[in-house]
Amino acid sequence: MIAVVDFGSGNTRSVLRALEAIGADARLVATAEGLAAAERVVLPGVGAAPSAVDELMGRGLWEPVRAWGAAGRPLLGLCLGAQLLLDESEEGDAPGLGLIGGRCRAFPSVELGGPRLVPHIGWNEVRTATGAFDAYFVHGFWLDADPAAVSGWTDVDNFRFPSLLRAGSLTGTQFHPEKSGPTGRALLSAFATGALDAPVEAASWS
Amino acid sequence: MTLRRRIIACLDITHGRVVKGTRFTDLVDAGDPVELAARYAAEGADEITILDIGATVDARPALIELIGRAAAALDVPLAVGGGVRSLADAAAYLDAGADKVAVNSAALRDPALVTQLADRLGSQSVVVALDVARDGPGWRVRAVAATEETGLDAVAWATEAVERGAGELLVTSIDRDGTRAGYDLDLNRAIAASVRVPVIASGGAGSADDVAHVLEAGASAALLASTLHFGILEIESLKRDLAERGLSIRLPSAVPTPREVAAWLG
Repeated sequence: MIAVVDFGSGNTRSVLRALEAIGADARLVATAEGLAAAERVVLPGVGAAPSAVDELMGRGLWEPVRAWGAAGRPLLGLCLGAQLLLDESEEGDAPGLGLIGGRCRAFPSVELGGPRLVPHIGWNEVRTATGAFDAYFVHGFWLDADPAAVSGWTDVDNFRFPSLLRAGSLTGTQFHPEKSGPTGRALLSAFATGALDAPVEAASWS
Repeated sequence: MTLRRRIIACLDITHGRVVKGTRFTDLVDAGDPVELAARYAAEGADEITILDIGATVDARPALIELIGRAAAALDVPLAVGGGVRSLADAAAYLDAGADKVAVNSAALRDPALVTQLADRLGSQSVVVALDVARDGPGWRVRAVAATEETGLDAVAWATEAVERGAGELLVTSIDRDGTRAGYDLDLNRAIAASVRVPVIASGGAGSADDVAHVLEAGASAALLASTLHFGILEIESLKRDLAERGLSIRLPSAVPTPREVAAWLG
């Protein structure tokens, strides 16, 4: 069973629907007990980091999700869910789960080399060492993550940012695979079928 | 490569059916919304917009049900507009499965609504839609399905909407709506140059040239309705044509297997 962590985030149902559409046994989980019964966990998220942190803590889910990831169990963070994997966020000085080193930052202004249009909304290319695919993005903050955990990058105007994180059995996508057409569904299938379960190696977060 | 320019398929609906008219009137039936939305997504639409142009309070439950069915049938983003009068309306559309909500007349009546929506739902979910008519050297905004003059200058209202938290602007030229005479390039250029959020150009698409021109004028996305419904343009060939002109466009690709995805991700 795949647990979709339900802390009231706007894309929770979209994520659940997309997992169901690819035939995965996915359920919304709002308790620590529910997480314990899962094989894999998806942490969704859209909107502001501070309120997501408050919701996760308020529902008693923060520590169980952190412990899940720290134990090297398969965890997929989507958009804000990926940003929460880092140590902290500039957005309202919110804490992160600290599973991957780094800080979530606001895009710099266009004068300092940032993108002309913020938030970064729309389809853009994700490039990895061995491939490239288009994915749908909606975000105003970027993953300034430990380079060892970055496996994919995206350019907007002249600004390059990490769009895909991999560390042990942790995967984080700045984009929304649930809204990224057939390729996005293939990514969710890869996670759901265990193709992204990597052996946990000593990484910066351990 | 950089951010792709989007091709958005728009379904204007009333009483649960897709309709399309010219300059907001003379509506003809163009099919079932969910079926059409799924077809356009499969053909390569980057996003789907559903606008309930006859939105009444009585029709709300049917619209909510339609949003749910459309969202379940789609693997690309869905924006929904029509009849959004309050934060509760917008939240209900998002809960039903919409990714973004477009607000138009209610924002003109009460601009603070835009701020409220952005604060509570996030700017990324808030599209401010403007129906605009040419007036001398500039453009003025109309409300209530383009029937009511507001006297507001279009560029001034667009700028205010963004300051209040709009994450995108959907700019419809009333003069060009459904005419296939081309987008109002000056209008889209003027608004795109004044704001730093994506501008979605709407009204007037008739050919690939028209779409290319409005994207070159600065629009982030081009919205198409009747040209698609009536088969004048087809999304996949349109996108290939735009890409050949050097525009950054998402083209169809082979669907990878989970194993291939895992190899890409490393």
